[in-house]
Amino acid sequence: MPYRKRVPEFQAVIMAGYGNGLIPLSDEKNNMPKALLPIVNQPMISYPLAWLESSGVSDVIVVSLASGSKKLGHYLDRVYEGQLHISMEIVDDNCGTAQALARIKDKIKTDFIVISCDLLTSLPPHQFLDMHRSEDPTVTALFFEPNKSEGGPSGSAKENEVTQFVGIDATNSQLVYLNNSDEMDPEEFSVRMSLLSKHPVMNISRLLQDGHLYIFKRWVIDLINEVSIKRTRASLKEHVLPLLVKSQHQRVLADREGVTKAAEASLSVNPSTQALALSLSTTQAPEIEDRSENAQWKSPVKVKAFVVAKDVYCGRANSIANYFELNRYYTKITDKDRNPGGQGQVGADSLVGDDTKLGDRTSVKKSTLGSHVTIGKNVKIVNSIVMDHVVLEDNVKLDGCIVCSGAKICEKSSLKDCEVGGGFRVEKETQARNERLVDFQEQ
Amino acid sequence: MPPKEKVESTEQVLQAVILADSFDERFQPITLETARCLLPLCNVPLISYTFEFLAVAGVQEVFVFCCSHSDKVKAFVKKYEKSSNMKINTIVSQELMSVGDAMRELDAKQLIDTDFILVTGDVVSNMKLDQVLEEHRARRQADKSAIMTMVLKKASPQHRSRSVGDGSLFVLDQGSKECLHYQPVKAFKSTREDRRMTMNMEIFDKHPEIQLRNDLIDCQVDICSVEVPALFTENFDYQDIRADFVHGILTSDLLGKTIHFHEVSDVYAARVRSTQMYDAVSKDIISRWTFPMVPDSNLQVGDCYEYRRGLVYKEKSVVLSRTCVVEEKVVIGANTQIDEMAVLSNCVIGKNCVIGANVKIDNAYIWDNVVIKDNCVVQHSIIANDAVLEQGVTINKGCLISFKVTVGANTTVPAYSRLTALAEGEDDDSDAELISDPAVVGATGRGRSFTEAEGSDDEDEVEDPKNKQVSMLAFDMSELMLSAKEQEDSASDFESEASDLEEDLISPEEELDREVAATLDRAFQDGHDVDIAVLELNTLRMATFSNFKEMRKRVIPGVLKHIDPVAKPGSGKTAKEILNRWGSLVGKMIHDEEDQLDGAYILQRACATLYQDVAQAQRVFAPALRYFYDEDILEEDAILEWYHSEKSQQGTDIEKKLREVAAPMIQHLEQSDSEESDDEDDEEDEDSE
Repeated sequence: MPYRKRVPEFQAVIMAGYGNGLIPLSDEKNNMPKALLPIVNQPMISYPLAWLESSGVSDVIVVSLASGSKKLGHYLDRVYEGQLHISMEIVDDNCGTAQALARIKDKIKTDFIVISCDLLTSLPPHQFLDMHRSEDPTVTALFFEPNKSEGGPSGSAKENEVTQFVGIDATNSQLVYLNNSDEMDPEEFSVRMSLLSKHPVMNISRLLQDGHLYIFKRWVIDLINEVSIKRTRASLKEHVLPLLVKSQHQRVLADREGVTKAAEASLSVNPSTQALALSLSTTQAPEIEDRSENAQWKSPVKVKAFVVAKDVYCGRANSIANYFELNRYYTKITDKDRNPGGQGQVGADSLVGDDTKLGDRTSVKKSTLGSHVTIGKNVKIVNSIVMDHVVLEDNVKLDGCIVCSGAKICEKSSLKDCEVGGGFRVEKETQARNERLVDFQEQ
Repeated sequence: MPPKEKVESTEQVLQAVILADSFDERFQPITLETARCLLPLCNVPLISYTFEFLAVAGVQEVFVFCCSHSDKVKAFVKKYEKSSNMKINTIVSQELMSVGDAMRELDAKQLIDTDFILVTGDVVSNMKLDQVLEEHRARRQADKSAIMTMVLKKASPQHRSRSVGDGSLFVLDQGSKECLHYQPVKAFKSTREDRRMTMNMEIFDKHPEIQLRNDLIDCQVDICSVEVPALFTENFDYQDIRADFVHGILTSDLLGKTIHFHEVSDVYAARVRSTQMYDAVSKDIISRWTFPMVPDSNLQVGDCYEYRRGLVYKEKSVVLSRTCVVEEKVVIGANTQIDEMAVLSNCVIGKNCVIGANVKIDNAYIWDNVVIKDNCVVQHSIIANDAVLEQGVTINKGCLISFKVTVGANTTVPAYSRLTALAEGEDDDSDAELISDPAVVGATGRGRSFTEAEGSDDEDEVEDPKNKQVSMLAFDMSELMLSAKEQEDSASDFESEASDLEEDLISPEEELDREVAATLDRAFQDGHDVDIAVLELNTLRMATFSNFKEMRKRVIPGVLKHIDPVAKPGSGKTAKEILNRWGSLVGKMIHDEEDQLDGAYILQRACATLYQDVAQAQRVFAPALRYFYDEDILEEDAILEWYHSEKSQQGTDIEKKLREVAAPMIQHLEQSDSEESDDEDDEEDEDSE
């Protein structure tokens, strides 16, 4: 059989952002970019990569900000061992997600998956992809209900979090309503009746979070481009997705923002596969095209929401608390054959990297230790993440801490719920609680 | 009455309360002469269906609340009780005006001592209630604050047995089966509130995941605890069980009660709330959706219907002529006689009727003892007992012909007529003589057309009349007569519905625009005092939470608009005259220097936008500026600052030209600034020009 060039069904784009919620961990100079932060001693980005690989996608574009690109590029070139064909694109630092996609729009040839480098899920990819395949929407977006946190360092992101109100039609899982609490009347929740007569059964949830995993139709890239021209720092989640959701019902908006135009342009070039299949079907009655003006306006957009079932794990490492939580969860489910026995006491829920030395009477519980960590005597580590090349001297106590690579904590220090920046030196006998220990000039 | 002894909850007597009156006037004039619950539905009085439904649910004791025509209801109930194994009590109270009154009465009489089923006397349903009751009792045991369980039926929003205009929107928590919010849905959404579902944000604190439902039929079957009547007594202003009671309980922070729901999907449940629903439910019964409550199960003693092909139900004693055609979905009562060539389809015909030759009846409901003579045509109407249609009468759709009306020969009754044979100012006074209206019922007829206003005295019902119309029999949306203006309105309704975003941003401002314009128009037309107009505008400002700047933006153009730049002096429309009369209105909107500057900009912009022609705009702008200066509404500093500011030099061409007009005045002002001494003379000079 002659070799035929394979046309991929989907292209995938991984957005490797800066990780504003993960400062100081994601600091470029002293630690590593967000995408490379370890989760159970694996770089974060390796999880979405593995997920994409198992979904059958072969072409992946990693979009990185300029600031972290060097280390990330090195990882993808040299360290990554998967089968994916990865190309990396670098965009400016102050770039919104939509803008970043607009930059690479020429490289997008098919329907495309956009995934964030911080999404970790045990959801089998085909479940999500099949929804898109069978329903043929403009966008399929993933929503999940975050797991309850079990405590630990909260970071600074706790204050007044913006919650999202997600409305999904219960009968066909169409995403019909999307609003952020900061844009809403704090007293009243209000939905227009016309929406309710179109979608008589609508589930509204405040718990669901946008998983930042989308499958877009090819033509949406043109729309994304247009949105990113109109706004600075345009983002997929904040601007493009809400626009698409609203365009399902609001003709004026859809026309004004160019949604209709973009959709029609694409439709004339290549009609949707389903329409094509139907037109080729011999059993399908020919459809009478209703082109009259009075015919009810049919939106060119259809947004579907895939809600992850509660028993399937899904999380985003977009804040320190979430990062911590993900680490804990994945530590629990990783098999710990590699844990060195011997001198120290390593608890069941912990993982210790290669070449890490534990001193006498050291105990490690519910924690992840990276490689090449040097640990002195009588050290107690509970509920913490210690990255590579960290030095912990004798009698150090860590509880609920994240210690970035290359940091050194001198003897008799006791830290609780702290984040220690990369390469930082904690003087001896420091007592700290809920603090962020980083080099001053970093900020 | 002393409270009955408490028995074990499992052996408790299951009680039900039927509200036989509907407290509305949708079936008038027919309900002027009989009780709503006794209207025949497929030749069986409505309330029989409700009794049957309750009997199936295992109810042992029923209290029937009736108000109007209570003697008739009482008599019927007495008769019915003999054939039923339920204990039925009738409670008559003439003062009842609403559901709320009935519940208060119930509380006062202390008749109920356990959880009970509350239904209205027009429910047709074949659902079983045991599961609901069980759920309700279990919930009550766990949590005393769960006072009520509503039974809601799933359907689609456009379901025919979902009454148009009586829709309801529920916000539910599927986890705890709690109802969180209730809102009625109107067919015509004239106000902004009607077009939106609005609920308290706090609901999300307790229930982060909610479900909005617009697909439920609420047939008002409620399982109530004894607290419900007591709560009605406590809150003596509650009238309606949904709009007031449910809404009140759910929005009250103090009461701390909860209302739950039970969703049923594969049973039938509907309420005959309106003539339109009467039509829908009749058809459902004929089509056997309500099985076992269908005509051939002979709910009434003495009935003996047989069920034939094509959904035709016929009593044994019916006389059908050889050539008459009985199409499908027809019910014909006992001893009715149908003559040659008559065509019947989709209709119900009562007992002892005579249908003449060549009559066509479609979609109509003809009750007992009606005589329809030859060559009549009846479409989609209700004809009550003892009515007579003489030869060649045509009844168009949507008519209600009440008892004993006679329509004379060859008359055409227009669509949606309501005819009655009761004398005007009726109410038991048989003295008043009926004055027949030959224009309506023909020369030999008996009856007059009935107008809505009679007897309806609830003044708080400022409902959109269109919303009343839609619940009428055979109402056809496309027939709705819209005046040109209304059409515009509704067109803009749809438009604004299309754009959530825009409406949300603009709406309050637009509203203020409109209000200010209306206030000014009123003031100008009726020649109000400036002070009164100011008072009105200030009230408006406070009511809309806007500031003086917002008001200025609207008031200044509003005043200038009335200036006719080409008017002759003396016509009352020149700039000078208008300003002398109304200029101080603007002054009341301007307080400090900042305001003045802002006012100047608005003046410039307003003149430029109101008058397309530069010359005209100038002719308004110059005197206006001068007037404001003279009246100290705009002071020197403000005008100078305006003139020299960049903002005034930008903008459209007209705006720029207007600024130039002000140049001489500015020059003068600047001069006078330096030489204050001779400025007074100058000014007088210019004034006299």
